[in-house]
Amino acid sequence: MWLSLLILIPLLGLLVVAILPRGNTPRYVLLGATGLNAFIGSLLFFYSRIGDKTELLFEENYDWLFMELGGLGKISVSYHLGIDGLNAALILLAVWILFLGAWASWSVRKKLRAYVALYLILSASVMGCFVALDFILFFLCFEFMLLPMYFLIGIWGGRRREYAAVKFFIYTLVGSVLILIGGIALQRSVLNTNRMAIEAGTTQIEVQEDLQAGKISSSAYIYSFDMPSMQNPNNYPPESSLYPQQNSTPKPMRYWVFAAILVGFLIKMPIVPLHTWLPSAHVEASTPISMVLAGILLKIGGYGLMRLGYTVFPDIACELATWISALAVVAIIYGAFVALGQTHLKRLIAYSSISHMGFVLLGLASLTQVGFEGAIYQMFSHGFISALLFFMAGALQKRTGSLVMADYSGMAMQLPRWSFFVAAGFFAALGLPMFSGFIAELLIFMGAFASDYVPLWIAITAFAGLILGGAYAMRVVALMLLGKPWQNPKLSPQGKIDLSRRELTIASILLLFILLAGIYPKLLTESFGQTLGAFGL
Amino acid sequence: MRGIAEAIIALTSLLLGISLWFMLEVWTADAAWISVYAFLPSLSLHSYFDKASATMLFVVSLVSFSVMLYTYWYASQRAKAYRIFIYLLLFLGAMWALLWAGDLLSLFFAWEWLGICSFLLVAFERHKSQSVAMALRVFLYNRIGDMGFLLAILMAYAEFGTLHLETLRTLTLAQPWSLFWIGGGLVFAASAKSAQVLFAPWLPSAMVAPTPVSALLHAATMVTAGVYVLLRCYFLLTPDLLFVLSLLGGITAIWGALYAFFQFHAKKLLAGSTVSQLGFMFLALGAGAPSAAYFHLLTHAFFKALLFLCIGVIAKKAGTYDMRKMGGLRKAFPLVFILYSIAAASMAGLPLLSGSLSKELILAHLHTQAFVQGGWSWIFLGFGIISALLTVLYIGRQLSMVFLGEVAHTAPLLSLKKYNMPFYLTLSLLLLAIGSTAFVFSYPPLSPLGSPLLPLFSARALSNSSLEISLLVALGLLAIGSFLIFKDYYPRRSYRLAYLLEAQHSLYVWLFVRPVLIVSGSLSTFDSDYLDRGIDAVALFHLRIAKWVRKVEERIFYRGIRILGESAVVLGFILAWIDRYIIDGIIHSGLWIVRQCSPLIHSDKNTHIQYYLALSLLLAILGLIAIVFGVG
Repeated sequence: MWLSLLILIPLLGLLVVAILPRGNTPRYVLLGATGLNAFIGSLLFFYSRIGDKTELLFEENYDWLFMELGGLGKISVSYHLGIDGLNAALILLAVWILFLGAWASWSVRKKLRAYVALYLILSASVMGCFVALDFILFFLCFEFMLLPMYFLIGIWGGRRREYAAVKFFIYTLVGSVLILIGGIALQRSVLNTNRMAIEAGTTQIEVQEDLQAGKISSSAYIYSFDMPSMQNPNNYPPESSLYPQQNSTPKPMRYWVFAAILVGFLIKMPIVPLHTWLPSAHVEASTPISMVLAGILLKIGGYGLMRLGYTVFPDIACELATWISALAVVAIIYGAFVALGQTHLKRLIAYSSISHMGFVLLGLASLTQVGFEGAIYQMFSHGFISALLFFMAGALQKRTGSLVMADYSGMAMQLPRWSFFVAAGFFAALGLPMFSGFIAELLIFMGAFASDYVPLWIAITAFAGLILGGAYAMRVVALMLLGKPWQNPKLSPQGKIDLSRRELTIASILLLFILLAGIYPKLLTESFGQTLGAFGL
Repeated sequence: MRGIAEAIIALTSLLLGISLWFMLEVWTADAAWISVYAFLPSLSLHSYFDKASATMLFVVSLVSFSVMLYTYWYASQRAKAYRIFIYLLLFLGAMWALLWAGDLLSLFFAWEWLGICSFLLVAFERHKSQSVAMALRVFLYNRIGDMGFLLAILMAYAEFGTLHLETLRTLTLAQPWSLFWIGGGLVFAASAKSAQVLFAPWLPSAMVAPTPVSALLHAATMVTAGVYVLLRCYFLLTPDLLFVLSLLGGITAIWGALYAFFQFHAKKLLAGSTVSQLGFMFLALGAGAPSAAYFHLLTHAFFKALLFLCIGVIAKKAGTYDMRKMGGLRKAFPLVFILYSIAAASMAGLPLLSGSLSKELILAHLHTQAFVQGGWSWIFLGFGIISALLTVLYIGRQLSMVFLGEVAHTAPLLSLKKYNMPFYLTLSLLLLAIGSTAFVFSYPPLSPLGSPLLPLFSARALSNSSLEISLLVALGLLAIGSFLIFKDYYPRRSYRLAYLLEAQHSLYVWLFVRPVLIVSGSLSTFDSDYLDRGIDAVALFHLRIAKWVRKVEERIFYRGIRILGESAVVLGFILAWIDRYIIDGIIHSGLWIVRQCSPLIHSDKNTHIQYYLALSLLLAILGLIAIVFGVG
């Protein structure tokens, strides 16, 4: 009921927008719907923080589709939602970034109704992605995000918006296809033992025992798309090609399916060399869409990798951990190097995102509980930091139209409020203690150093990313904020106007979350609970 | 906005009072204050506040208070000068945090903030591109050092599962292999923060900061954070690392002193001197005498801050830092001259002043170590003696060039009248001068052994006559140095050595900064021009394939099907023709034959149906007979 609300409220807002006349009213609906979502999402987060984490919280499980496909067997698809340690913090992140992004959209004039409608569809599908526990539902929302995102970039974007939108679309689609292949392959091996037990009139545990003993004929199989079921080896029939064997080499099919899921989500994260859609999408997207893109959409890549990749294929993840960690470190260092070489502020932030998402992958690759906590922490932290930085970049772009760093100098003396938030954002991005990024990187590195799978030298190499991170962050501070007060005279004189009250409020809320997560890490770590440990990490 | 400045000074005096109270409490209670705060599920933050931290807290607060009073005078004519007080307060907060920290993580928290404060304060004059560039440089040197600290934290956590120093102390008694990496990381970090030889160039660069900032951060307190962390983590240092410390410290002590000796920029001379004195502290650490390093850290805080502040008063009034343009300033600044002399003599090691105590102690420890261990230790002792001599020379040179001699014949200084300092400025300098005397540290003031500070940290036992010998050596060096200075045997012209540390930095720029920039530039080009376009090209290639397929479809399939259809139509026409003329013709000709035959059968029109029946019956019988007999 409660989790469904997170999906339904934006859709309800969509209905309201449909019947509203032209004018400025849709933006109140947008703000109202996302605001209500933010409120409910925060409440759910705080309840799940104190709740019992041995089972799924706020679980909703209804049969959705049941198909008898003859030779293909019976397939059940359920409407399964729930909160556990993996998604609790990300739900909090998503509702707030969506809300603040909606607030930042206040000044949108062009085709307002269409904008609001698409934004609400996006909100609903983003929330669906984070709360869904059934693969079909997850994938539906995952795919559905593409549609509003394509139009939001392609209509309200910058100069080369159509190119960026098409690029984003194609990249994500390729990733989706791989994920879909992975999901379908998993479905052929995972059974809905719960439903089988009901049909056979026994308990689920008996069914699982019989299944493992080979006593159940394949005609009685009910295949399932349920993601928590995928994590339990007892739901796999022993003869299936993805059966997780204990203490022996994994079946080769498991490698292929894991690889498909991995690559699919790595595109979304994105990890070098599959990242080139990100800078163009960010540069062309409008400010609120950049915030949502960097703040949430990238996180779905990391989250999906945990939900569908790491917790389902821990054996393969162990085997490939060294390579994945190397990939992560390459992404960290490559992103930081390229960020250091940028002259355009938004591109710089985009590449710093790539570098920071590399840390997420490093945390995952460590296959330790603390590394996983770090990965989620980093996603939460980077969600707010990148949203803050993109928001500030957008505020400047709105005033002058230019984000070329060489057009500005000494902004601290011209726009002190703006400069304060930019400086705070970059201090947070370089991992200064008291900001959330520090805790995240600390946890990830603790995981990487304690890990049995990540070689020490790879973890130490990632330090180069921290040094370079300091370099590019402070370079922006030194070049743009400090120095002689100056702006390129060709730019609009509006560049001398500091943040408005609305912008100030949004930026303060973002910074508040960053500081809160940096000073009081229990805010998030308590929400992880035992869930992460339960995966045998 | 001056209200803010005054409020912050008031707050600092309050903090000074609190730190005094804390110090008295801790000293009378004779026990450390500890507390734990569960920060992360796997890590807690610990505080540990013992006599050593309490004493240093008081010293830091006192110097900060004094520097803030000074800043009130220094920044009085500037608009928006209150910003410097905010940063200084932030810095003081970070120092407090450092001194309360009881585990590596809390130390690192404070450590990082010290770096940021340093950046903000060096870039205080933010409209000057020079300040900003130097601030960036200072930050990057520190950032690289921070990686060592992070390495230590992560190795300690991975190996022992805790970062609490008191727990680590018991866990590392067995000296496991990882200790080298933990301690090594800390030595790396500390040598960056404390500007040891590899990292030394950042300290002169930081001299673009306002003088009070240089006095507080880059002389008295922040740069000694490295030494402080090593003191706290001394048990993590293996013998190999102590050797590294000695080597680093010895070279640094001479490196910085040489730089100072040839320097003409008054503040950079003092920066070189700070580098050298920090090297001296590292020498003490390496010689197994953390107590001596701690002692020198505290005495150095007072006299070095005082030196900076005195030079600051003069430079502000004279409008230059170039010592060649100064001279004979004792007349215009008599009080500053006296206070400066106290600080300089203290650093040079004149008895009854604080510097002599700590310097003797360190030399004595070096001497003992040389006797006990021999070998390299003699070289370390040599480093110590040479740097002590250079100390006397460079500070005597500054005293002589700035205050003694004739008034230089340059415009701004000639017109200087005797300067009457405001009372709070005098107070600020006097506080530091009192701290530069031996009486506040030790009783009897001639021997460092009377100091209650020494038992706070462990130290190897001194051999019998070391202290006496080192006192004699120190006095001898003082005498030689003073003689040379009074004979004017010191550089008055510009020498290459005056740019020693700048040259070192240029080397780093060539070795590291440029390659990094080249790599980042070429990777950026690669990313946008090759990788991005390459992937676009792959997409475009697929698009081209799609177009090609369409063309193929158009050309072959579409046209083929049309040809097929057309040929089918043609075929149909042909078939129709055949149908009409050949098949129909056959049928028609058949019909024609039958029609021609029929008159043969029915010649008569009156023939009855019975005749036909009989005829067909007859034919059938004939047929049957033919079949039967034919078959048979």
